[in-house]
Amino acid sequence: MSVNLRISNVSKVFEKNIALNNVSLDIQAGEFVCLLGPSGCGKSTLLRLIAGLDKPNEGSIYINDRNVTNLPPARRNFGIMFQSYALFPNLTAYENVAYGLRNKKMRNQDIEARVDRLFHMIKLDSAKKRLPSQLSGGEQQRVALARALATEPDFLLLDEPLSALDAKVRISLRKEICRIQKELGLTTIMVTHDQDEALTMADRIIVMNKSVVMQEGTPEEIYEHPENPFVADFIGSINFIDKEKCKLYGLCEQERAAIRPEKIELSRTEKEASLRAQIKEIEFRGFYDRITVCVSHGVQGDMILLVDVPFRMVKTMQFRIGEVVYVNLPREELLGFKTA
Amino acid sequence: MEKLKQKIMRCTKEDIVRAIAIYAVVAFLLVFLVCPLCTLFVKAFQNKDGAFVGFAQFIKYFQSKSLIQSISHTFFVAIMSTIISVTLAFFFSYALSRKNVPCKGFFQYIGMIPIFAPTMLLGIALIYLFGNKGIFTALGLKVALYGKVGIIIAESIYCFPVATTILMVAFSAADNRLYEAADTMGTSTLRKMLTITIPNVKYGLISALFVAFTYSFTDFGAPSVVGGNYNVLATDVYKQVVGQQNFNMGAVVGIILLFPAVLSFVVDRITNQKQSAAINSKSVPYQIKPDKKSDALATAFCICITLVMVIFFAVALFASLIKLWPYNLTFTISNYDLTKIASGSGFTAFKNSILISLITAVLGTIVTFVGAYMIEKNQKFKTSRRIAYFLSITPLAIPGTVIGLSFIMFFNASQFNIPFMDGYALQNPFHGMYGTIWILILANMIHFYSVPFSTATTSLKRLDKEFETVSESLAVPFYRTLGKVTLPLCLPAICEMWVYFFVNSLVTVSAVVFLASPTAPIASVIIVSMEGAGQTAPAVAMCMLLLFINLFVRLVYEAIRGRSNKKK
Ligand SMILES: Nc1ncnc2c1ncn2[C@@H]1O[C@H](COP(=O)(O)OP(=O)(O)OP(=O)(O)O)[C@@H](O)[C@H]1O
Ligand SMILES: [Mg+2]
Repeated sequence: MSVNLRISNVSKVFEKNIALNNVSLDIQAGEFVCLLGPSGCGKSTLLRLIAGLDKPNEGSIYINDRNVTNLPPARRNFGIMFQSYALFPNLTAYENVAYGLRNKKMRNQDIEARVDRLFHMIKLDSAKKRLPSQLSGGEQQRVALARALATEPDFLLLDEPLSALDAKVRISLRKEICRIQKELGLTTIMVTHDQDEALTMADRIIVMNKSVVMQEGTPEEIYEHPENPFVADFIGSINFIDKEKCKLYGLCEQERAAIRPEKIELSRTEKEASLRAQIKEIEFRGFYDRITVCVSHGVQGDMILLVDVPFRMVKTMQFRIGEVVYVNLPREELLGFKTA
Repeated sequence: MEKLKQKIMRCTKEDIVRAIAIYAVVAFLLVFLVCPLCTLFVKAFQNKDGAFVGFAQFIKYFQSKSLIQSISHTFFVAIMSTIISVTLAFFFSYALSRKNVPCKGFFQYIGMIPIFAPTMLLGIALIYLFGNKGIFTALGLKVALYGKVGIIIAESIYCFPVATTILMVAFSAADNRLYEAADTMGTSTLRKMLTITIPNVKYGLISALFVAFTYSFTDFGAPSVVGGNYNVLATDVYKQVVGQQNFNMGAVVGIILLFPAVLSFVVDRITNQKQSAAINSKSVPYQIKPDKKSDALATAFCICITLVMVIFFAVALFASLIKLWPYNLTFTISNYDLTKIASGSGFTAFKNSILISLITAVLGTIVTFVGAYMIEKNQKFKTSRRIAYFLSITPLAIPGTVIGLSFIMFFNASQFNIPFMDGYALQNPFHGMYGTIWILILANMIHFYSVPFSTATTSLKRLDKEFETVSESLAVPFYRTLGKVTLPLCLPAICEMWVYFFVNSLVTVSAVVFLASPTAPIASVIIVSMEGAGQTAPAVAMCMLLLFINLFVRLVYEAIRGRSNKKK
């Protein structure tokens, strides 16, 4: 069974140090939500409050519209996973997964059946009898996932589950987690500070900074329409253009504008509204090149822009450092912010 | 009121178990640590009849010439033995951790032996070596042993192992990258020593100095054997309390004994924090480079130290196995006949000692572990946990002599007068323990509480702190996780705690010398009285027995540890 979660005006203070400031969230049943934000912004704290491991100073938490603010963790029925795996090192993988079941007065063969099914699901049937120290990081994390799912939780909490793993394993586990989550239709909240992880996995992303929620929305919304400079900067790369330059180049009227490097067009021929610029730096990035250009306009100063040029185009155009080129900032891709 | 009711309603069964455990530990420490100390403080400001006299006792004390003298004696002896033992320990641990010395384990173990024997043994061995009829005296080497010389030698050996242990830890925390950086800049060996090594072990060195000072400042065993007429504070207290039954003056001396110990405790706390902050996970362990000349020198030094230790204990062993030193050197084991020595109470004393050590080790390990667990792995009961932590590390600052004194005052009183309420008095529920082995067990548990507590805390800290979180999410009660995961993982630490309690309880004398009674005699105290009565050979035999038992326990522990390490 899947549940919806509601966090309403929650605040948490640690010895005068505010970790969460009046945070409200609504999470639908079966939704995969990512909490994304820089270190120390309060993501883990929010997760611990939802788990009931800490009590909020203010506000309430609802599971399926029932107020659970004062319910102990054991009665909230959730599964949890950590960056450190937290597998019990003296128990085998099998016993780790069965750990929560042993306590539930289940018959041994029922336990066995369920654990077997879980190992099948995480594709680790052969590793049951091994100790955690005999498993790789990725395998350990999969066992931790199976353990979290063993008690058939209503929702799943993941605190940076993939940060300790290397890039390859991380990507395959991303898929694994998403697949299992969709299969079980489990409401899931994952904390991460890796934007790629959030963009690829989440149904909805909640961007946090300095103990408040900055923006929430689908990955596309967050990427294409950031509501404030923080979100724009935190997710992906972006060029900020301040008010003076906006005016100078006739770009927009707002306090601050921004444009993503891959949205800028670079060419050797001058078009209407394109700006003359000089190439300062070319950085090879694999499937694209990041080119730094400097747009100059007399005395008022230069404007440095980052431009991402796809690999195909790099091949045909053969840009050189020092070369004069023309940049085009499509008006419809320009983001405007009311605050600086 | 309504809130309180709600709070109680919300308590789960687990919360209740937790609450009982933590409050039990706090209550234990309050009753058997804080209350006796309070009694001691009160007594210091009273006269014999129990009337409040303010600082009169202190003034009387500082006017007495002989007592003032014993303060300066104690300082002199303590400073000298601190300098000697820490200097030797510094080079010893430097040689073992930074030089290519063969058989490091062997040297290290031999260096640790004094921990396993009562300090009286060191004194007695000294008498056999340098006393009036000693071996070296007979060879023409005359030393004025009785008095400061004897005490300083004995205390230096006594403090050597603990200083070595602290310094070994300090030396092990080196960052090889610093040395490599220095080497690339062509730094001389001396400069490396002065700019890298010494600053690196600075805090360990300070800590070793203070701990060694406290040990020798408060030791009772060695001065009671080789002190002669050279009076020091620890023996003073004994004379005041046991000899003259002057409890109030004893309390005054006890408080004076507390000062350096508390100071050393504070310094130790501060340096501990600094030391742990200095090392990080990125440090690279020190790589020992071969250097023939200095390696040979280091090995020679280690051999010298070991030789001294071996001579001490060999002489003691030899003396325990002959009829009458130095007149009749025929071999005998009659000194080990426990039924004959100390007018027949030898066997009871020996049995009591073992029993006390066993019970102390079991109960002490349980209490300290439960205490450490509740403090470390618990979110609730903030205030109680803070109090419990503070009380748990306090015994480190209380010399054994003071614990013994405060216990005798606390348990001896049949009732406590409540201040400002004349005519009312509280029956002392613990009076019945006086004269039984239980008072000795409690004294040992309190006396040696802090080190095992720290061992438990460290090993608990090393576990992933999310184990408890995961268990809670799986709705598994904490005591199940404690039993199935935490305890098995902490087993090595638990064994170590047990051994620490056992070894120390078996040989300690400073606290128990006040508490052992004819109805419950114990070995270490019998040794003191036999030695005082001139029965040196049986006394030394008894010392050797205790040493053997401790070494045996330690070896069994090492064997178990070695096996479990191999399994991993
Ligand atoms: N138990 C605690 N006591 C005191 N302060 C705390 C405690 N837990 C968290 N904080 C503080 O609350 C703030 C938010 O912490 P939190 O762990 O939620 O950050 P985070 O977003 O998870 O960061 P990271 O990405 O580094 O894990 C931090 O400033 C932290 O120092
Ligand atoms: Mg975190």
